[in-house]
Order: sequence, then C-alpha cells, then structure tokens
Amino acid sequence: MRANPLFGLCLAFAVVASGCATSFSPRPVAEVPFKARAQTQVQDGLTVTVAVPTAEEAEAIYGVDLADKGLQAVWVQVRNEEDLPYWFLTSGLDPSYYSASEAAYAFRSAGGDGQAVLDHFESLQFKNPVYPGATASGFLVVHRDEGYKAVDIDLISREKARSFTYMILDPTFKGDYTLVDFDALYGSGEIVEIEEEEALRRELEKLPCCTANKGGTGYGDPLNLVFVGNNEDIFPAYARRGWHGTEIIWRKAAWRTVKSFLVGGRYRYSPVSPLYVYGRRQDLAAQKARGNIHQRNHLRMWLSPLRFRGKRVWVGQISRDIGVKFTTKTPILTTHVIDPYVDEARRYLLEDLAYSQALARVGFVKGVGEATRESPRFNLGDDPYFTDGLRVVMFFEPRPRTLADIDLVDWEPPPRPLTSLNREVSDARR
Amino acid sequence: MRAGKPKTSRCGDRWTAAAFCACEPPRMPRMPSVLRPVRGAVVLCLLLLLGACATPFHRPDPLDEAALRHRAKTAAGEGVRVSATIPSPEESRAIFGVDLEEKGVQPLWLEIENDTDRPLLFSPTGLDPWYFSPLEVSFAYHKRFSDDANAQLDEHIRGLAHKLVVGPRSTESGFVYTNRDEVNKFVSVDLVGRKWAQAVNLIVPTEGTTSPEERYRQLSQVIAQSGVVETDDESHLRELLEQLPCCVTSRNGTQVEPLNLVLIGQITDVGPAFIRRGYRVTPADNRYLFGRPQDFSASKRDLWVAAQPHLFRAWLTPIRFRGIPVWVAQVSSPLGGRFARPAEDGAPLPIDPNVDEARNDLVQDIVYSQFLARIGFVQGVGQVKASAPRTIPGVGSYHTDGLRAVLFIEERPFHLSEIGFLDWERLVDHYRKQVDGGESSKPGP
Repeated sequence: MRANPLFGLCLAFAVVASGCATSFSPRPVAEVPFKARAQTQVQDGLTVTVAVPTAEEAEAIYGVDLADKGLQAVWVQVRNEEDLPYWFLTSGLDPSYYSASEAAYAFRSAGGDGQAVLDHFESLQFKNPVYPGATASGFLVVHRDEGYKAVDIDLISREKARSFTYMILDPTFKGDYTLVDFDALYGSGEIVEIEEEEALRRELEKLPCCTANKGGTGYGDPLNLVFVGNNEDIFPAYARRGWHGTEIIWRKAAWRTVKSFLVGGRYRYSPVSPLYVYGRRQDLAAQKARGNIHQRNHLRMWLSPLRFRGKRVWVGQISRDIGVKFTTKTPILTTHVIDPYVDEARRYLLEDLAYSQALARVGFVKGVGEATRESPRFNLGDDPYFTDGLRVVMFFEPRPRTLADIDLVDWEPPPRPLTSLNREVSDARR
Repeated sequence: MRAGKPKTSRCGDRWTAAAFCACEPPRMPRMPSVLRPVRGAVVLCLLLLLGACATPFHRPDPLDEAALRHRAKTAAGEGVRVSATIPSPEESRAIFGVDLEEKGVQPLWLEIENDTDRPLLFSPTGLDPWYFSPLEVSFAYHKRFSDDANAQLDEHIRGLAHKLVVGPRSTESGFVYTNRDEVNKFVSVDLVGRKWAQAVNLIVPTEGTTSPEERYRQLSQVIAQSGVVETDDESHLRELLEQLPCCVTSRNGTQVEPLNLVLIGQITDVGPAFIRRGYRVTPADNRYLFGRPQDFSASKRDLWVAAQPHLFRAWLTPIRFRGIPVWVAQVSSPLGGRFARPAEDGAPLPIDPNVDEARNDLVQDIVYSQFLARIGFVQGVGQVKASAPRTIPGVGSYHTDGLRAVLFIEERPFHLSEIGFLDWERLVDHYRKQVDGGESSKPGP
C-alpha cells in the first residue's frame, strides 16, 4: 500500500506537537552516568573533581536542551580539608558564564510559569563558599564548547590561591582528532626519546620543511610551529585564548559551514582542508574565529615521534586568512588569501599563547629556510609566502604563569622584532 | 599542480564555498556557446574595461608626526613613556591614502620612548587580541589588475606600522591597526623582555569625545566646591562607606536599585581594569545620586560570544582615601539577561532579583583584571531575604545580602594569591548564616 502523504504529514505534525506538550521532568542527577568520566586532582588539602555531561546527559539532568541555546553544564566538586574557606571563581571557568536565573529564563516556557525550571536550575547550581571540612558540588552553566572542554578551576582563600586545569573530551564530537589513535601512531621502536636541549634542536631541524599534498608530490605551507608539553597544558592554553577544534568534513559540519558562509555568521568548528605530514592528514586543527568565516586564523598540528623529557612534541603550521580573491580555480571564482608574511601569523600565535598562562619557554630553530618578499615561495593554493625560515618552539607547563615568567632558549637568534630578547641575553653575558 | 583524486583536492579554508565540498576538482565554467565566435572581442573588451580600473597608487605625503604627538595622551612606566593618538578620520585618510574607517579599522599611533638599557618588545595582542596585520589591512583595499599599485599600498601600510621593538635609549613610533572603539580606547601597552614584563595603561579618546580623565577633572571641581572628605584611616573609611546612601533614585526621587559596589582607585587604573574584562562605556537610563545622574555607565561588550548582561553605573563620591578617589556604584542585570527580548515599547526590562550575583560577577572580573589589590565588604542597603523580596514599581523586585563590595584598584599586576582581604564584613559569615538559617542547607548535587 502506498502511504498517503497527507496522513504522513498529519502524523509528523502530531508527533511534533506532542513533543512540545511533554511536561518538565528532569531525571535525578544520580541516574545519569556522566560522573563515570569525572577527573580528580588533588593539591594539598583540596580535592577537585570535574565532569562534563554530554548534550544528551545535560538534557536529562536539566530537563531541557541546554545545547539548543548554546549552553553547556560543567559539574564541579570541591572537597576542602584545609582550615580556610575557599571560593570558586566562576569567571575563571568562563568569563561569560550564565547565572542560574539567566539560563533558566531561556527555558521558562518548559514547565508552567517557569518557577519549576528556575527552582531546578538553582538547585543544580554550584554554591560558594566551600567551608573547611566540607564538600561542595554543583553545576555551572557556561558557553558550549564542542569537542573538548578546557576546564580551569581557580579557588581562592584569604591566604592562598590554587589553580586546577582539566581537559575533558566530548565522547560524541566528531573532531578531526577523533580519527586519530594517538597512542597507536608510533610503535615503541619509532619513538625518539630526547633529554638534552641541543639534541632536541637537532631533531627539530630535521623535521619535514613543509606540509604536502596527499601523494607527497607537492609542498605547501611551511611547518613553522613546534609545541612541547602535556596535553592538559597545551590544549587548555589554546582554549583560554579562544582557539577551538574543528569538525571533520561531514554532513552536519558542511551545512553549518554553508550557513556561516551565507549569513556571514561565526561557525567556530568549521572544517579545515587536509594537508599532509608524515604521510597523514593533520592530527588536529584549531582555529580562532574573528569577524566572520572569511577572517580566521587556523593552524594544523601533527604529533611527531619525538619526546622531550617525556613530553610530546607536536609540529604545526599556521597562516592568517586575510580575505577572499578572484580565482579561476573554484566554481564560485573566489578563494581565501593568506597573509603572505607567514611569520606575522607565527608571531601572533606566540604572543597570543604568551597570554595563555601556560607558556613557559620559547626558542627558535631552523625550518623551511628563508624566502624573501622579492622571490617568495608558493603554497599548494598558489598563494605566495615569504619568511625568515625559522620555526618557533613553545614549551608548555602547568599554569598560572605571567608574561614576566617566560624564558628564552638560546638557539637560533630570534627574528625581528623578537631579536631584542636575544640582545638582552648577549648584554647580560657581557 | 592540481591534485588528481577527489580526496586530495584542497578545499575548506582555501576555497570558500568549497569548504564543505566532497572535494571534486574544480572546473572552469564554460563560456556560453553564442559568445564563442566572438571570444577574442569579448576578451579584449573585458581587458579594456579592467584596464581602466588599474588606477595608480598615489603615495600620501610623508607622515607629520608632530600633530599626532602634540595632542597625544601619555603615560609613564619604569623608564618608559608611551604616547598614543587616534587620528581623526580626515587625518587618517591623508596618512594612509585609503579610508580605514570604512572597514572598521582604527589606526592607533603609538610612540614608545625607552630610557632603559634594555630593548623593549611591544605586544599588540595585549592591546587588541583581534588586531589586524598590516598586509591584512592593505589587502582590503587591493584593486583588481593593479598589482603595482597594490604592492605600493602594501609597502605604505607596512611602513607606517609600529616596528614592535624599541632599542635601549631610543624611541620608536608607528601605527597599530586595531578594531574600532567608539568613544574611548583603553590602551594597555605590554612591554616584554626576557623573564620580565611591564604594562603601561592609558585612555585615548576618539575625536570629539571627552576623555575619562577630563570628565574626572570636571567632576572633581564640582565636588571640591561642596567639600572633600579626606581620610587615611581604614575604620573611618568603613564608617563613611556605610553612611553612603543605600540606593540610587529615579528622577522623581524614588529609591531604586541598591548601591552595592565601591571602587577606590584613580580613573587611569579603574578604567583599564574594567576595559580589560570587556566593559565599555555605554549609555543607560538615568539614575540619581548626590543630585546628579551617573558619572559613568558601562556594560560588557560582546566579542564573539555574548557577554554577561551586567549594567553598571558609578558616581564619584566626595571621599578621598589616602588621596585616592572613592567611587560608589550600582550593578545589576536585566531579568532573563541574554535571553530577554527588549520590550516592544522600549520600556526597560525588570531587574534580575538576585542582584548579588551581578555584584559578585563584577568582583570576579576585577579579580581577573589583575588590578585588584584588596577587597572588603561593608554594610549597604541591608539584607533583603529571597522569601520576602523588595518590590520597586516599574523596576522589579530584588533580594540581597545587603553588602557592598569595596575594591581597591591599583595598577601593578596582582596575582590571585596576592589579593588582600579586609577584616570588615565577611561574606563567608553571611553565607553561613544563610546555611544555618536553612535557606540552602542541602548538599550540592
């Protein structure tokens, strides 16, 4: 029997309408198993546990779809075995976080006059302070980050301040990095363990010069970045400065990118195209949206087989999209243009991460080699670029650190304007 | 060098609309068949048309820095002096040869004088994390088929940019291409060396606006006429702060929102502390205190996420603590915050009843600005329980612990662990009373 389309439409309508009429019925927190993914850290008398429910779990707990409004819940538990009360600084977690009443307002039509929703949101909220000998726990409603959530917990008392940082993966996000099994990338025989700085420098200078196309027959943008550190130090540092992961190119991401292009909006996770190092596409890409999709800074990272004092070493590439140009190479006759002075994007990233509280040391090593403005090289998109040919090496450590704590490694003389740092070194030696 | 297989073609960031593509290799659109016989003529016509667009670049006259320096705002740090000016739109067009304002770029002229024996590295990211690179700016004005003119413009914009480094005992000046601020630009110049850093902060007004320092001078003169109350003693200060009016009033004298914040600091420190956390001077409905409307009102600016909806109004008080001006302020949020829709008749939204939340958020913002030296709490409007809120017709209702936060704002960067606490009212005790009173005695979820 052929289905009557009218009947189908009515049925669909009835289903939608009944969906709207469901009552506000959140599930008890204990019944939602998100705490299985909780992470705990201890510093002296403070034990801090953090877990991030997925969008579905949060919907069960709150009884409404937080993700639909761009919101996310973070669960925090603080056990205080010291002798002073501590305050959890929510602005450190997200300076634009939502109060319970503000978040509840977005869902006020979900149950009756909105009072039930408000009461429920307030009962879930984390409440300060954490008294000596007590344990406090609850949720904070913050902006939704897809993929991974960098959770910074700062607790202050009259005498001390303590900082905790967590990196929590969303098991449902199809980030490009979810395609990669980082532990299986290299066999134990392939890992190169390095202890001495000079040995690290030599190994970094031997890394590939550039990204390549899939077949390895053409070379593209220079690999001008190296990161050394633990994941919990590197990735939250990026998040703190507004860098976000990118989705792999799949249908949902594609649609969101189209929307962003058409309405000029900001899709924070739009995919970036694949470039190849070690014969594989980037292990992960990150981007910092600016005005709109035409203007963004993006970088790609690959895990290298190097380990420095037990820490992972990543190699990467950054460029700055500065606009759109006419081209005969695409169906819509436009393409992104990168700032040809690629060193500017490299310096920008270094500065940006200097404010991330987690950058400890910086050095420069030889990379692709110099290309002048008069005779630039070209990337795979036929965009010209010029560079001093160096790569910046950034060492990450646990936060907090300030600008004034950042040290320089004495390798290649830093390029202009950073040359001044080196001059200081030689002045000091004199 | 086109990639052969579909998967290897470059898409996403390189090809705008192809960002979502299945990565088919691109093809040139075919010319309609009717035009094919006259192909040569079409191409020739197009080239002639385009040739007409290839206007040469007229290099502007060399920059006359004297005018910019003459009206610059200046501030000094340890062995450094920073001057800053925003050129007027006319000056800007004359300097750059293009209309930067049209693209939302606000050039900021900076001169950094270095009187020390060490080179200084200047970090524009600290001033504006979304600043534009010189070639990004010039690219926005590139014309098609004008390669020579474009290259000259690139060179011109690059040449005017600040070099970002200042040698020992020398001076360096140039432009930073920043995002536009409408009224005042709070300029935080971070100077970095190896294992040290210092910040010099200043406020630069745009053309035709009054700088906060100027406004402060005007206010000080008004207050001087009716008498300044000087004190060096902390407990006397506490008494004075507790004697301040409980609330702001509407024009007709009705008491409205509680005054829940006190700021003690110079305008040149208070301003940057707020600006660092995204606050900008914004207009607000008038409230009254000391017989005048607010001296400043501010709210947080959206960057690329919606910012917290707090609205803040401040007045300069006649009190001076150890010579430092004392401000009293009121901070609250509209009910529903970022989710509230403005009323159709433009009427102000009711306030969020939990006014302490807005106060505590603002305190945290100042904590993270690294300008907070000390914090204390004093009695203000007095406790109003959530179970019996205070209703103000036309404004909404509120409940509060009744305290005012007192923030001592100073310039040097304070780490979280360096912030001092005054032994006045203790927020912790107030919350404990609430717990003991059974208002929130349940353990957290």
